[in-house]
Amino acid sequence: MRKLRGPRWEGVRPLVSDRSPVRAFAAAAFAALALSACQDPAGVGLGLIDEEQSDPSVRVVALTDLDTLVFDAPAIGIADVSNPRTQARVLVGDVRDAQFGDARAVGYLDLLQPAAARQLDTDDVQRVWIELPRDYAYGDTTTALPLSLHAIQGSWSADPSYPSDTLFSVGAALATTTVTDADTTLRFDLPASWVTANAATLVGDDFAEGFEGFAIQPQAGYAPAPGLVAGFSTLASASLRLATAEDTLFFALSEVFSSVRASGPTAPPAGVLPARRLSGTAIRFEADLASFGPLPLARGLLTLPLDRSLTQMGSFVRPLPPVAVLYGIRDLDGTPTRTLLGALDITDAGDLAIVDTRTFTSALQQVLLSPATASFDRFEIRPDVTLDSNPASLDVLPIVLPGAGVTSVPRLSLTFVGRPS
Amino acid sequence: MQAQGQNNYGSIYSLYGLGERVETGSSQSAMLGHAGAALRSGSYVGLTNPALWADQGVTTFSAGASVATVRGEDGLTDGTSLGTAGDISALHLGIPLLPGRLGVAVAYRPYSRVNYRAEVEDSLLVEGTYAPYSLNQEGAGGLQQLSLGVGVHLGPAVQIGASAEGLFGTQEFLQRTRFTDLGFLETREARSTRLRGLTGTVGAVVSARSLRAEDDALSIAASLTFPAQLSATRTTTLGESLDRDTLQTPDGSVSLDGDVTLPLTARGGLTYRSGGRWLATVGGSYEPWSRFESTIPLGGYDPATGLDLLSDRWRVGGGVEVTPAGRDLRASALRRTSYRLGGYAEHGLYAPSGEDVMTMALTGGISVPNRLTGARFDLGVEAGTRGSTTGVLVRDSFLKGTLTINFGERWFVRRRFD
Repeated sequence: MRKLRGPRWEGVRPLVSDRSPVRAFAAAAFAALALSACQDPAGVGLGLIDEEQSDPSVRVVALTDLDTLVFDAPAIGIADVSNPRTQARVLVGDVRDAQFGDARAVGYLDLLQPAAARQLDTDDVQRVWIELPRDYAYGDTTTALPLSLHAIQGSWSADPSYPSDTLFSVGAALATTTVTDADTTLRFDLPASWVTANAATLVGDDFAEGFEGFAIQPQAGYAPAPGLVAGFSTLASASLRLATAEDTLFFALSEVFSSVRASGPTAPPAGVLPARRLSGTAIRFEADLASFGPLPLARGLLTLPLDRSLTQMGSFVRPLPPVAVLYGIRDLDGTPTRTLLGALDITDAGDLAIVDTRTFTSALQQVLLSPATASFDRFEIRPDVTLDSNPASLDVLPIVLPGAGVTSVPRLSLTFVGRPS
Repeated sequence: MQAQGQNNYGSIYSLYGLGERVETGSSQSAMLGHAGAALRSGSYVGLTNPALWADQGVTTFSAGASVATVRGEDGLTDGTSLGTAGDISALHLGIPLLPGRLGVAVAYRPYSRVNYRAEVEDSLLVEGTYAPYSLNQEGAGGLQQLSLGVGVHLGPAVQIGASAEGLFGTQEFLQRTRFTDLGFLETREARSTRLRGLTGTVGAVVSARSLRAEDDALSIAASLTFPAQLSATRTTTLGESLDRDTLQTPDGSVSLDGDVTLPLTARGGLTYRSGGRWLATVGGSYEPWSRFESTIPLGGYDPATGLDLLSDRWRVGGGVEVTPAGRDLRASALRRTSYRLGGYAEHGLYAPSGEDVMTMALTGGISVPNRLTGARFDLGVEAGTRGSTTGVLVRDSFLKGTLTINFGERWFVRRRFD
């Protein structure tokens, strides 16, 4: 009798013996599975899978209720040194623009005292002047823009909750100048009387509390025809310069604010939405996605054609913005909830289009999948208040409206995988 | 437009219906053209006919593994596809309650297999620019079959059997669409359909002995597996891994429920055995897939659009087995080895664009005895072609190797001496 291993049950012997072929089988099975999934990617079968596959398709959704929207614009041209979004420009000037609206801008500057200033005596201060590089123009570039420099009276801070047309009290004009198209720098030489009167403050320990900065504004009585709003860079490390007999000290800007008072257009351009930054004007529209159902979305592309002929009309220029921001608005119990959907940029073709289509597509996909919780009642395009290095401006967005003879209209192009019903 | 297809063993045709049907009788019948309905044996348990389970003389266990390679070509492209895949085939345990008279068996085996992959490259005109993309389709899964039944001899000439069959499994379908432009998102839409249901099989074998010689026998058999109604639950997801969103159905629910009705399976066969030295068998099966019904769309079938590419499936096959030593257990292993050769022809359960798909294959192999009583290693091979390059069809040339262990011995023995 063969001797078998394994537990002994009463009257029963086990199945597996010490010569079990199970081991051999297991090895063979392992070898079989190890050979699986060897695949050559070249192949056939297109004719068969044609009936099963979901082909990509494109649907173009026309934007509806496209209009401007006036909102309570915050002071987006304001910033201080503690603000990570450094404000890179200050606007000054006055312009008449029937198509996009008149605008008058006043620039406010405050300064940082360099440490070396406290080493000086009052008598060391000989001359003081302000220098700002010019980097922007809106309006008639042939304009000779008369500007005046004033001391700000009363304290102010870089509070973005200010309305964008907030004005601060200022004193009499300290200096005047005229900026022309040929000027690359704005310069105000402060009078000797002001230097003498303020030398102790400029080199003293109470500079931060005792000095509130300057306002730059169009000279009183200036009648723009059509005028100009100029922009000056505030990124330069030296804005106010103080000269001694041996050296020159540089006072950098600590706070800047561009107060812009703008009115609506009196003769808006035909077939175009006259939207402009810093004027409290946003663009709103609606796009109906409800009919598509929960289909996979490969890309959503928002395109708004621009009438670029309005950006330069002879010597009158209206710059386009480097970027704008798209929001989805959902009204919850009467309260609008705003969702940032991405930045819009100017394409090579001159259209305003979404930059990061992947993020935008993901948001639209959620709208398709969960319309009850993720859909938007409307969309808004606003001036950028969140992105870095987006200086204050009066940039325009002349969005072309649908109409007779218009071939390229504002649209949302959706690339589905599958065909919507 | 370019196409790249990837056939795994189930071939691109496995996208139809519930997948490529898998015939699992025994490793013996697989080498004899899958003609197993009337293949009586004391060593093998033929799973296609529960009446055969009455013949069990020893407790048997079998398990098998296979490796198959498929080369595909069609008339639409110049390329060929090549796929290789391994699989675990049937497992069974058979127990003779009354050896040679009454036996029960439990078996776990595939009913169908879905296993294909295909890729299409194309482009789409978007905003005036052609955007190239690739579309990848993968199918996986299939139905499994769990059987429990009994076979009994009613007399020396007649035996019958019945089994209950549980059918369950999941069909997975994945489509990945990827555009070359990185501004597009890759989409992954996965459709998973779970199916489950019950059916039953009845069978009978009638045998006549000593027809031309003292130890010959002729067996005629038939079996019938009843139509099965499966309940189906389908969920469709978008995304991958943990970042998946379940797509809602038109009525707002997260899954689509439906019913799927499988057709009956009728089998018949004839076997002539001359002693232990040789036997010949023929058999066939028939499944009216033209009567397939489903309330949810499946490959080649969509009740909403009226699409129905399914067709009646039938198969005929046969083979011959020779064992030089017959029942002489003292002969050498080489003479006790069984040598088998067969073949079959099958009409597929699908007819894409109205074109019939035929499979023609040769089967064969050897069954090597082990020194352990009742244990045999079966090495089988199957080679053939499926389909053609006519129209949209694909011609698969396949080669499949199987290794099966059939282990059997008297399992419960009351010892006379301790």
